[in-house]
Amino acid sequence: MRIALFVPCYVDQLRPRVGMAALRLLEGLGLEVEFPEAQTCCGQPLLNSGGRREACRLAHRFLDVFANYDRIVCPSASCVATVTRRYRELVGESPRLAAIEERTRELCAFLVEQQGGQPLAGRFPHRVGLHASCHALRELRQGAASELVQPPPADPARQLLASLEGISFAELRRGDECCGFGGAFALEEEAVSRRMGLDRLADHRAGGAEVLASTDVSCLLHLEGLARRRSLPLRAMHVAEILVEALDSA
Amino acid sequence: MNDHASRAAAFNADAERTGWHDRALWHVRERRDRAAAQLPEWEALRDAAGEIKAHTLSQLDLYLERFEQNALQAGASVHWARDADELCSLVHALLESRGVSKVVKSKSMLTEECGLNPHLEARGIEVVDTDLGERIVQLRGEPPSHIVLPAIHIKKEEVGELFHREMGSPEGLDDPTRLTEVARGDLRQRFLAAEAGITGVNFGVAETGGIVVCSNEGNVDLGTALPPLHIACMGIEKLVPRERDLPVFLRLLARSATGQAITSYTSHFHGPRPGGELHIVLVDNGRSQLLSSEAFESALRCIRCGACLNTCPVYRRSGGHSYASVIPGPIGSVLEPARDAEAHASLPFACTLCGSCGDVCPVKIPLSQQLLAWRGRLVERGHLGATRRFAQRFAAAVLARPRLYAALGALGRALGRRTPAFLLRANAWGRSRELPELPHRSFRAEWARRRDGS
Amino acid sequence: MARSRESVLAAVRRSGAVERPLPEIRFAPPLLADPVGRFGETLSEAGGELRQVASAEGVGGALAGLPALAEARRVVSGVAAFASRHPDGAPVVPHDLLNLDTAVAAGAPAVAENGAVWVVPGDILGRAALFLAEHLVLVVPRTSLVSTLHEAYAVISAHKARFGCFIAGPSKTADIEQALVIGAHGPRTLTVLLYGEEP
Ligand code: SF4
Repeated sequence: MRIALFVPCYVDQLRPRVGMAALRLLEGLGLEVEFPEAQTCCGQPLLNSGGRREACRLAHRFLDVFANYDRIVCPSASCVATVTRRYRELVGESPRLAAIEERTRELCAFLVEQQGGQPLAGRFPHRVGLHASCHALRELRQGAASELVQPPPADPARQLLASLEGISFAELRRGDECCGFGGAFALEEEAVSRRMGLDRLADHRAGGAEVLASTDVSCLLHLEGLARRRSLPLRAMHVAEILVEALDSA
Repeated sequence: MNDHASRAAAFNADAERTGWHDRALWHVRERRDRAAAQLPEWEALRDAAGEIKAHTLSQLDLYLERFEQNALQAGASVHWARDADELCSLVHALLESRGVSKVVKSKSMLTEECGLNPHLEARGIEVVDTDLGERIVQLRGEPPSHIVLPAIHIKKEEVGELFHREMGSPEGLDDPTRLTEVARGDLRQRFLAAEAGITGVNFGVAETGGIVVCSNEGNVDLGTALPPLHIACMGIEKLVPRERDLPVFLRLLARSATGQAITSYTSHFHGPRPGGELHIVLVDNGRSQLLSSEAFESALRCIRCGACLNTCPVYRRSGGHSYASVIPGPIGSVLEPARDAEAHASLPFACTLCGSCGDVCPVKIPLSQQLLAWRGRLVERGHLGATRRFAQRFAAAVLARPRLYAALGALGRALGRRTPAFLLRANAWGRSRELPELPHRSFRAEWARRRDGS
Repeated sequence: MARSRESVLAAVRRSGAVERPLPEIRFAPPLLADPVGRFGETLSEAGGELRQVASAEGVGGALAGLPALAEARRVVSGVAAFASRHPDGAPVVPHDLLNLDTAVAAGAPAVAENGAVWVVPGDILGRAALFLAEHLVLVVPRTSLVSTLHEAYAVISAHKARFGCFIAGPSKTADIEQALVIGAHGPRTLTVLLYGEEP
């Protein structure tokens, strides 16, 4: 199985250690992982700000770069959703796209799939506030969206974390409300974005969270930026970072 | 500047009030969740509702004709209005020819959309909105801020002051029960004096020519049982094929809107009351155009339950008036640019694409996908200005060249590490957030080092 | 106006939509262990009150004992078991009902899932009375109880009446700060009298 690691542009540039953590976790399962160096960005930021034509160009590029892999694994639910849910309207349906859609996985989902639900041998004695990424929830359908009346699909991020020794979860009053990042929204609608983020932080803190966890670095950078400006004692960590830290301390 | 962001920022200047507004609406959303959870078949109902509407819209000309024929048969008069102007002059003509000078109106987003009140008032006809929330905003001289809860942005103390001024209630009264009592007394007189009642329509049934109107207060029914003339204004998208389709929608509507299992009154009109007249006005006003748009056509399924507003984290924290549109919130941000793209260009961007609206919508309109589609169109048509286009082209050019991208990324991080605090705080990111700690090496640089074995 | 009609229809036709299928509506009614109990709950959630009497013969007596009727001076009744009361002369137009204390009407079916009762008033006075009265009493045969709105529509043939209404609880509003207030424009109380033996 040829596995490609897809590291979104902002993870590459701003939080490379999340990419490194993903790599370690995958290699830890004995998998051989490649990082196709021609990759840059899936086009989501452009698509979401209305630059369809530019996004379309990047989508085609993505299809070229990742054409020859059996699995494309990415530590961002949002970027996976762009590829597997949004590309269709952007580049039109094709066997090539269908293959990519079928092979692209969010990291946690892929890890669960690979290790078949075995608990992780790791220790993380902290109270974690798991911030549900909107795109994990409502695009990839990983986890329970509070709007729907149906048996909730599995949440691989929670599953992985829950198997760590010593971990506990902060109970949230609004378990799946958006953090207010939203790409360009964070800048263009700064006031609302800030308020949304602060409300999430307050909820997590009321639940006693010491660590804020998510499958998306973008949400985390926004929340962490708000928390640090206010010197709140909250560490923002991608689920992959937590898993690596837990494995190291086991 | 005429955009949502600046109005939202003004709303957020009062942090306490923003929190109050958010909590009030979240509370409604929670009531909706509890009501929905009582029906194990909830998702199947949503599927059915969406499919019934999709079918009806795909055969709308046939159903409109069928509805008209059956409504006529039942004794109603049926009129057609291509746009807001036609609706207004039509209603005015009906009222004028019968010498009507006092009208009571129950809630109708369609007449808001068409500006019926100002049109009639300018011609000397007194129009009293009788839904309590509508009455409050009417007396304040402002538009509703929500399609189901028109006065959700107003505090009870403010209602107290308003009623003191307008209805002579005691000063300082702020108890909702007593305030409602004051309005009840005042409006009773107006119901009795009215010579015509204007209502909206929730559903029109093609196979019977009947119309259904839902309400909680009883104002719809007082307004149509007392005066002999009933004018019902109805968007052409309100049809359902059969009477047995109604329960699908009625089971969803109130639960989605307020968390009630059903509204207090679900009134079915088939023709006029004895000795009275019923006029149904079928209004297009842009709907047929929307119908021919593959991307946005499904927005016509909307049954105006307001659930997408209540769930929208942006709406809750920016208030209905920040949208500067007849219909605020997610569905408004889809519908309004279709009416006037230039004026409402900022609305599809007032959204984080969290997707909650689409999951809460009882007729399964893919709202966030439509908002995304609008963004593309608005940018292509140049409504967002040349700077954005330039930035996008530049970004795409960089992102198509991995080496250039890597070099610029490194440069950006280096500069970012040296940004003085005052500059950071002047920037939209840094105003309230710290920059992330910028790493010296990107992931790809780390990977290259590993590959080269260093 | 004919021009408007033609142009709206033409515009709709121009959209050239491909026909989408119309689904059949099949929602199996839930098996309720205690339908009357459920109806009582949903009615009370809607702000109404359930009273029961075992037989049709007992309806008159049960009505006379209701607080909404015991002290009422002006009553418009649509049921044979209770006579209207018009101390100031019989009403002729709806406007004469301004000071109506209580309206009594027959209704059926009652719907367990939401506390609603289908009511078709006999005439315009009866209709106005439903909404002008301070108190409303609905007299409903127990055998009419259905579990969901689907079954209700299967029996009512709504279009056979010029006016028919599902009534669920008294008039209410929450338009001031979401505080629930009973008695907005219409009745301040609703009592449903369910009569008849358990089937
Ligand atoms: S779009 Fe859907 S959720 Fe929003 S008001 Fe319309 S029906 Fe309700």
